Parts: sequence; structure tokens; C-alpha cells
Amino acid sequence: MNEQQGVEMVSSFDPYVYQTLHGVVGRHIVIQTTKNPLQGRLKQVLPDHVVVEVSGSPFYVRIQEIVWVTVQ
Amino acid sequence: MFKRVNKLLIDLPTPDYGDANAAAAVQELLGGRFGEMSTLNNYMYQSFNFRQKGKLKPFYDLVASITAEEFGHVELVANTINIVGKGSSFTADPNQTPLQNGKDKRNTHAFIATAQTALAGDSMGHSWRGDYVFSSGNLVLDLLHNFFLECGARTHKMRVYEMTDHPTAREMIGYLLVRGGAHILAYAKAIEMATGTDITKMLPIPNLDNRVFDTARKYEEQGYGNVLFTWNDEGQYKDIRQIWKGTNPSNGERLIVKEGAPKGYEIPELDALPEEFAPGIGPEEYEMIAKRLLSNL
Repeated sequence: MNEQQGVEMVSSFDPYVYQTLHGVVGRHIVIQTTKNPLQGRLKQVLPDHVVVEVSGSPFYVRIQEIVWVTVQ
Repeated sequence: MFKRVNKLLIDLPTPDYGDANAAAAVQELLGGRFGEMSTLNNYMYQSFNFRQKGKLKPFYDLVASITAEEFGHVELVANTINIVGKGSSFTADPNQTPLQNGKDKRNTHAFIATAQTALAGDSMGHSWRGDYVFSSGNLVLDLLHNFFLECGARTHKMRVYEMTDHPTAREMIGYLLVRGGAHILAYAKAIEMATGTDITKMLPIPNLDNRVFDTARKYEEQGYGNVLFTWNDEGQYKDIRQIWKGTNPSNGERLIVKEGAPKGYEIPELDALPEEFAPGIGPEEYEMIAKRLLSNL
């Protein structure tokens, strides 16, 4: 009776965003997030977040919070 | 007259992220009715308009020397707004709408009129006004007004602190809560000298200690609130020590008058914002300017 139910992890995934962003790793980009734009170098792309380096500091951005991306 | 020193009162942190709406809220502490432009101009006009400066010298010295400090506070809050306000636009061709986020920020004016820097107005964009200055000429009334003004300023700082956790805004507010507290006490003591009434018993207004605020604590612990500077290197304004004496009722520590000004810290640099055409000097223009500046020296 006390057996715990397993917790199911649900994760949204934007496969084409993920794939497209892989193509611009290392480039200078602008990411419009739902809060503010971020301007810097795209360092890394993972299934649920990207890493943008802005003036030497890494910013970890959830892909779900990205509105658009442009390459400079 | 005034002498200018190219330093900022504290070492402001400059994180790589901004918050334009927080910067808009901080505007209240610059150009609001209880902002630093008001404390500056109130004490400045009161010092200009002071009758019987000689006979009432300690009071004149107090209002005159605090004027100079307030100038530095205006500078500090403006620099804070400039640092906190960054990160809402990106560098791009005008046709790509690089200021598009500006239309959804609280202070649209800052995007259009000041290239995302401070303006002489409050958090709702109203201009700072000359009628915020109270200079009745009656010494006790002016001192009472200044006491009230500083208590209002303290309240507003506490509320803006509660609105934003941006590190630059909080550092500035922490420091100014402590300095504002010193000014509240200075005017309370001046009123006691002038009338015999001890209004320090009302303090603090609002009724919570500066140490509640994380960024104010270190300034309190380092005794920043126990000192008044003369802001003068020629031995003037020293008679504030006839008012600023005894102990600080908030911590029991001795009140100190220091001649001159604190050493200060570097003024933060502001990056170019090509999308705002600010400063609007590219590499080619800069080269031409450098040539002209350096010729015929």
C-alpha cells in the first residue's frame, strides 16, 4: 500500500529550434527572450537550454523562453 | 562655488544584466518629490538664501555642506539608473526594430529621449520641479522641512528596495539609507540646538532599522552613519561640529566630523549603444576627431 507511484518527467522539446541553433554555435547572435533581448556569442545548445556568453559571463537560457533568434 | 571630483561615492556593482523597469522605479529616487534632486536643490537654495549666515554659522554650515554631499547622491543615483537600465535593446539595422522592447517598458521616454540613461524626472516620467524646493527663510521651519524631506526620502528608498533586487539598485539604496539616516539625525540635532526639542525620539521613521536591509548593513557596521564630512579642504563649514556631536541614538557610537570628502571610487563606464546613435562616433569619425584633437598641441 505504501509503494510510491513513479514520478513521470514531462519535458517540452522544440526539435527544429534545437537543430537550427546547433548550426549557429560560435556565432554572435541576438536572442529575444520573453523578458529581455540577449546579445552575445552562442556557446552551447542543449535540448532544453542554450548558453550565451555576454561580456564574458555565461547566460543559461531556457529554449521555452526564446521568442526569436537572429544571427549578427 | 563648487569644485568637482571625478569619483563616485561607492563602488557600484555592474552586473551584465539590466532591468529597464527597475531603472524606471529608481527614477523616483532621482527626480521624484523626495528624490536626490530635491534634497540637493532644497539645501542648495536654503544655503544661498540663508539670512545671518555669520550669526547662525553652524546651521548655515550644515545646510551648505550637506548640499555638496547631495550633489554626489544625484550623481550616484543617475549612474545606478544607467547601469540598471541596460540590456533592453540590441545592436542592429534600424529596419530590424532594435528598440522594439522599449515600447513595452515603463519608461518609454528613456528609449526615445535619453538613450536609456537617467532623466531629470520621477518614476512616472514627470519632470523634477522647482516647486519641490522649500526655502521659507525661517530657520526652524526650513530645518523641520528638511527633517521631513529626509524621512520621506528614506521611505521611498525602502519601497524601491522592495520593488527590485537588482544588485546595483540595492547597493545604492543600502548606502543612501545609511547616509540619509545621518542627515535625518543631523537635522533633528539642528532642531534640538535651535529649539531645545529632541525629535530624535521619533526615529526611525518608518519604524525599522537600516540593518533590516541586506545592503545597508555593512555601511552601518562600518560606521558610515556616524560621520558628516565638510566637503571642503580649506577649513570651511567646520562648525557643523557644534551640531554633529555626542552619540548616534541608533547605535550609541560617537558622531564624527571629518574635514574634506571621502576618497570615492571610479565612475562606471557606459558602453556605446549604436542602435541609439549614442554617442554616435564610429571608428572613422573617432580617427578624424583624434587627428583634430592632437594637431597643433
